[in-house]
Amino acid sequence: MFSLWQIATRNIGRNRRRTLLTASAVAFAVAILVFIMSYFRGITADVFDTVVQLQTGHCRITAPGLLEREILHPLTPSIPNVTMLCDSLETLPEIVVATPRINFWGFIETGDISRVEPNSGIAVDFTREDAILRPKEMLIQGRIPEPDSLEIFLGERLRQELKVNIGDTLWIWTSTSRRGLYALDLVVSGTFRTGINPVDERTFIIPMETAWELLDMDGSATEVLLMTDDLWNAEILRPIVQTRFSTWHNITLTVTPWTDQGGIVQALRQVSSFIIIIIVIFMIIAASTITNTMLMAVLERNKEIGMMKALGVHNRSIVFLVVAEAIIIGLLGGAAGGVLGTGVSMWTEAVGIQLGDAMADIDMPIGEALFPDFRWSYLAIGWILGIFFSGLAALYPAWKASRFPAAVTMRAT
Amino acid sequence: MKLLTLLISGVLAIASMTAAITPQEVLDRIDQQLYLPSAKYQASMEIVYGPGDVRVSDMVIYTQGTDTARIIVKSPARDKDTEFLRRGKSLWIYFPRNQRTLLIQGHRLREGMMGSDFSYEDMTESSTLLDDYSAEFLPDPAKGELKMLLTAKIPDVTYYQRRVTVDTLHWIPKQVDLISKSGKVLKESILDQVKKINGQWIPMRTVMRDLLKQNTRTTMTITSIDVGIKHPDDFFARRSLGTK
Repeated sequence: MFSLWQIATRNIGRNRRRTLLTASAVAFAVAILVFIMSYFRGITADVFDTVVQLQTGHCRITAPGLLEREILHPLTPSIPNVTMLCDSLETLPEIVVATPRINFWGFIETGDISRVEPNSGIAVDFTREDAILRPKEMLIQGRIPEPDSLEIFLGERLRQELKVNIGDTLWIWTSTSRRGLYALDLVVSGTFRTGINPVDERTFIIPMETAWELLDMDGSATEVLLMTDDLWNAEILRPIVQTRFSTWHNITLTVTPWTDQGGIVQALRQVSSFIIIIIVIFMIIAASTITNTMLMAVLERNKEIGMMKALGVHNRSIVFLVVAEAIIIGLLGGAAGGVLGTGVSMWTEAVGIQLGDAMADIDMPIGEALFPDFRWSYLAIGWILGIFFSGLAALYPAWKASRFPAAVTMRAT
Repeated sequence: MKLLTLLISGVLAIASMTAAITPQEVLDRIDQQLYLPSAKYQASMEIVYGPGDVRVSDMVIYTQGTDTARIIVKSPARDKDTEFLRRGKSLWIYFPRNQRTLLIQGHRLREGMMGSDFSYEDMTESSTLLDDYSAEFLPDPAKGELKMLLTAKIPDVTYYQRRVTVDTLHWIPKQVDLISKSGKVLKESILDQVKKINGQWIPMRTVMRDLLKQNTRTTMTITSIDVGIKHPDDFFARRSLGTK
């Protein structure tokens, strides 16, 4: 067996150009694989972070029936006495933060500009949002609105579109929870930037107490977002919250972990399936190159193989010899590709991939720059897959070689 | 015997009166009852938004002609001094807190005023039925009533059809189903109190239910009414909003 490995290793150097070509195919596939895994993890982390920040938290509590209509930003049914509920929830050891939110539509008007399309408003309790919305990290200029103030926090792009500055007053009118109309004058205290253009262009944030007046929802909120220690452990909150707060003011609360929340998560699952398909396609292309070159190699060596068989070498040893050669090429090519993929991933992770305005019109929570998220496990996975597919791709040439009839090839010699 | 004779002759008189009357004449009589060239109402609106969620608003309503009206809300505190001014197809809402005025037009006029079951149009329009609708009698009216189906004969009316139960004693529509072009009953209005003022029977309490909402109901009660008022010249001008 050891001598077969030695022969396989020696064979690699016999046609260096062909070996280099084969190893390059493996290297290219492994490099792409490592980079795609890093890139996808970067997108996923970016999207999850934004969705958790703006929409879902790790877990979301709503009144029954609200989630089904949430695209309309309904104000009813709401959760009453929401501050007390949040305080009670935060006494549970599994919950790090509980914070109320109201999502609503509001029409913004300034002296000169009256927007026909409504903007997306979020009412928050700024004192509870440091771990979820992270307003201090989003702040571009000015300051975060004071609680219970007639102040507004505008997306930076929205501020530019409205042509207002910090300290300017604009007014917002909206349909209240009781379907009447109400309007408030609000002073722009600051602007924020999430890096997600649709959010920065359309969204404004106001203090919860201000929203209670604007929306006629005294003490109520449409949802409570929960944060736990671990994003991937959010499922445990559902039974805990439902046991402790089976009803709240005669409302049966709906508790939904982020994993069960609609579109984005579902879309990411579909994208991950797509990524797997891409990876398989690249590996098949690399494998076909290996199959092709190994087939050429064994056909060139038919006399040699015939000789080996005439000397009594078993078919399975011939198969092993060819596959071993491919595995060694996969090992070398995979290592080179792994190094290349790791280098590119780490470099782009450091500098980011600038998308510029390409994402401006895409309604996905992805920022203007993407940062791949490289993990050493991706290098290991890429390398192992490179070796595996190389060996797999060599099976047919190996089988073909093992079928050479010894006598015929000897005679041809 | 005298009583019986009187009763029979009375019934016959009503029967002959209603039998001879045409649907258009009924509409004309209703319009004569309901139309006031100018008036000032003190009204109270009880809005049931849902089980246990009730709010009462007091307001003063000024009307002139068929599509000019101004409403000033007196309570609750949240809406105090909010004004609604209707002129033609436009409606302005004046918010006293920031002294801003919001123009509402088009389909928004059909939204509930202050979230009630009465739309802005319902509250501020008093166009005449005879001008807007053709009418036909429906079968099986109860005694002292007429049942009619009104169908719009001009575009842009709020409700394409109205199924009306007319009280023939007062010539007022005691129950109205407001129907869309698709045949869906959108709202149901029941008028259960009337008062005779200057020879006209005026509806004093109307219960409206928007059937597209769940568990809501709005009761509009007129507590006092002055008819034939002469409003100041600029009373219905937009610039007068916020000035009483």
